[in-house]
Amino acid sequence: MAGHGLSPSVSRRALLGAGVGGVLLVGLHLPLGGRSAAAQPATSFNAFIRIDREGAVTLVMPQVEMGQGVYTSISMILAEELDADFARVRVEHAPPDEAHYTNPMLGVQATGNSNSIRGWWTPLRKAGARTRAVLVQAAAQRWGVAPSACRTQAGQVIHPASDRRVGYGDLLGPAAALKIPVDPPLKTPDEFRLIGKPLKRLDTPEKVNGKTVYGIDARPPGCRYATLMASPVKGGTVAGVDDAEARLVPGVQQVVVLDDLVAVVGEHMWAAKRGLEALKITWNDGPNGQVDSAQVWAQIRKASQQDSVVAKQAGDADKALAAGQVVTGEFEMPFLAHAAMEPMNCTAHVTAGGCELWLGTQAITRVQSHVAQALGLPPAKVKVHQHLLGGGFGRRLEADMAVKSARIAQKVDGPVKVVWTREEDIRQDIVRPVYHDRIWARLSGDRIVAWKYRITGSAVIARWLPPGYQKGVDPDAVDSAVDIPYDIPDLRVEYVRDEPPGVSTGFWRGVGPNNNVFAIESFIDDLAKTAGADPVAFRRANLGKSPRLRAVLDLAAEQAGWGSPLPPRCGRGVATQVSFGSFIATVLEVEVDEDGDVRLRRATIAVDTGMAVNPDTIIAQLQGGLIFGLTAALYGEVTLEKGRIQQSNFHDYRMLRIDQVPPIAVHLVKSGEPPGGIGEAGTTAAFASLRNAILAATGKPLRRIPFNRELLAKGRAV
Amino acid sequence: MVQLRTAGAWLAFRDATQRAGDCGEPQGSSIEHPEVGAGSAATEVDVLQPRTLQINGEARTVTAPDDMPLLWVLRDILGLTGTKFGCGIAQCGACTVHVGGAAVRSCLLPVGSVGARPVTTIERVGETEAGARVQDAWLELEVVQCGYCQSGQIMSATALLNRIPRPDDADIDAAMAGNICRCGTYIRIRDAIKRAASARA
Repeated sequence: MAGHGLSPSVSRRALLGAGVGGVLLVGLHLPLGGRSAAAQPATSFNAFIRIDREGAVTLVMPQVEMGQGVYTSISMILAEELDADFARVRVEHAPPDEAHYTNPMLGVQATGNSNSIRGWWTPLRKAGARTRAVLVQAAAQRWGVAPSACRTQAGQVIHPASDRRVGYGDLLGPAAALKIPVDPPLKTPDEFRLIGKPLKRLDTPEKVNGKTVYGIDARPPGCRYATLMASPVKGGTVAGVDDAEARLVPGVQQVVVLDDLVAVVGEHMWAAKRGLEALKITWNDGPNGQVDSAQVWAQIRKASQQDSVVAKQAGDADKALAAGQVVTGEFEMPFLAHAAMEPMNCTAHVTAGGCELWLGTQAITRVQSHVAQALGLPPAKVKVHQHLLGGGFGRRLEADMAVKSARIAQKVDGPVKVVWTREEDIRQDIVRPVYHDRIWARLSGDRIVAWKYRITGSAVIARWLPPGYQKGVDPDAVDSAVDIPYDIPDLRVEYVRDEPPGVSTGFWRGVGPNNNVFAIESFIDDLAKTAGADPVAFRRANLGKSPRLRAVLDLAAEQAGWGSPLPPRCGRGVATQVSFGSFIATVLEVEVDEDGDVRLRRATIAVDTGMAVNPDTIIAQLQGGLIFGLTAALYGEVTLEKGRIQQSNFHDYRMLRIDQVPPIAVHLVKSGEPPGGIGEAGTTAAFASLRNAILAATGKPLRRIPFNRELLAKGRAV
Repeated sequence: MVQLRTAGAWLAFRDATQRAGDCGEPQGSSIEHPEVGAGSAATEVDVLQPRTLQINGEARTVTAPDDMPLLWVLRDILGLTGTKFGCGIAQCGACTVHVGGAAVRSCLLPVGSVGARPVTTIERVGETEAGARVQDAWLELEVVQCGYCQSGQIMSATALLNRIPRPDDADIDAAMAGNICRCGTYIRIRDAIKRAASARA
């Protein structure tokens, strides 16, 4: 944005911040050092940077914070090039505004696919550098010196020759009269003061004392509480509701019956919950009422035999496969729920002319437009208050929770906070799709000379971002398949779209690469076995054209003590991946007892993710991401019966707990390459490293997630 | 009163169900057959009497049915939203608070059973000696990711340190295995508890 002064979007924010109309002030300011957000008039230099007369810097976050540390790393990038005083920056959620906050890699204003730092690295550095340059010009003009004779540090312009300095806040007027330089030089890495340092996160102090206001904590004045049950079968409708008993529950105020859902509104969640339990609802299940998991699997396996679309081709894979003995492998992944710790929720207030929403969302403009459409409003009439997210994992890329809440709020006088029970959260999840993969390969000695990989599964992109679905290929479903790092002369990647019945499918942490890397890296171990080669040595031999991946493989193998002796029934598994722009090798060590129970002993991850913005965040994301993936690999599966999701809460949709989690060592490779993505990558690393460790411990090559402990029991054959 | 399973009992339950290959409803925490409010409120006409609770060192008067879990009294009546709702069946620990000094799952604890026992929540646990040490260690080691479970983690960890000043790994497992973290911050939670223990004044 070339203009100066208050931009329209800033004016709107200022209005919100003032709490106009008695609205509770829930806009986020995360002050550091106990400074409260001052209502100082501020100059907006672009969509990301505002500075007030006291020099306080407010940074507007184009990506959302759901635990991945991105508010801190984005602030570090902006503050680095701006030379702001990092201890004094404040951050603010971006409003829905595609013109300014569209992720350059995603093409929408959304947070996902580990695209935040990758997408914003250069634009935000430029935004910081431009602002710094115009402030330097203003100071230089005031002092009558050359801008090149000045430097900046911690929110001040300094003229060392005359030992003069001036704070950024004192330069706002003069800077506003200047033209902002278009392309000022960016810092070289040796000039970085913030980037590369393990800085403390900006969002954590209020997360350890209960002060953080997540979406579920929003309480606009007069707020009522509601919980809901939507048709347990996709596409089903309400046939009838007997609410006689529910209305007797103390605190119940209203029963809202819509076509496809029933909600109970009350004085508090307890009244709403008890009221809902007291309702007698009958449903018209509709066409999906008989769908079960067996039907889902039969359908996808059949689809995998049918015509496919070529996603990548090099040489002639069929011809090369026909020239000798072919090794094949089949792999499958189940439906998965997200189960973010903060259950789905949205507080909504529908008035005559508009709608106001409070929630934490990964896709704020999607929420705005979908609610506008559902209510027949122009998008500008839907005001969305963003919050920190109690986990996203792809679930909060969807707008369903906002749409349902807004539809309920249409029937309610005043604001209503709609909170999903955990049971509703899981049963109404937009699930990670099932996948069926098949790979054919041929070896020549320890080299892979031919490779054909067919992926069958839902095209989530076709629903969520239709322009991304081109020529019958879902780029997410084949992501790490087309980026396969191995040096294979004749190769083809094929995709078959199969939309499973009875569910809606969505993105889930690690997205398409989870499935690709599970299949590829499991199969690579099978090939190594066929070749009689060590899994690490076999990978090295086939990674001739990927020095970055080979380097992390060597590092992980060395740090994990690859090849050193282990006790009986223990094994190490390795997996490598090029995903989300990061190069990662993982070695996992497990013990499988005679009953088939898997104990995680130790994990080692080596990563080259380019320049590390906040190395401590990278370590935390890889550790947490790996645990997220291991949880799914050991326990995760959503199943259907009579069109209904069978899982409902943490007793039947299990999570790894503290006593089951191994030490996870993360080793960062120093790199000058642009940053890669990291939030998803640890999850992607889990599946094949665990599968291959189990293979090493038991000799059993598992092919399906979640791993079946019955098959791992002593004496059972796979 | 609902029996609140301790973390140790939780482990025993989990191991038993794992062995049985069955992850059925945990004892004492079924939502289908709640032990709370055995006399259905739907068939009674209650005139609710105000009750006084000792919350974070203050007397707070609330009007709520006996069987209403403490969680919703804290969040929806008193506005103490630092205590989180995660599962409603004492499986995840996000709702952990201290009642009479012990860590309990407030999502199943009927407010009628609290009586005069002092309740401490995440908002004020930092004013206790152990709570402050735990919060400091959490920040020093940058434990937190999304943070939603961390109120419960910190309450469980603080209760552990009050009970066992120098917990070993087995003590930490037993005290913390009832608290789920979906972001997977467990490694740092363990380290931070040890840090907080060694920082003892």
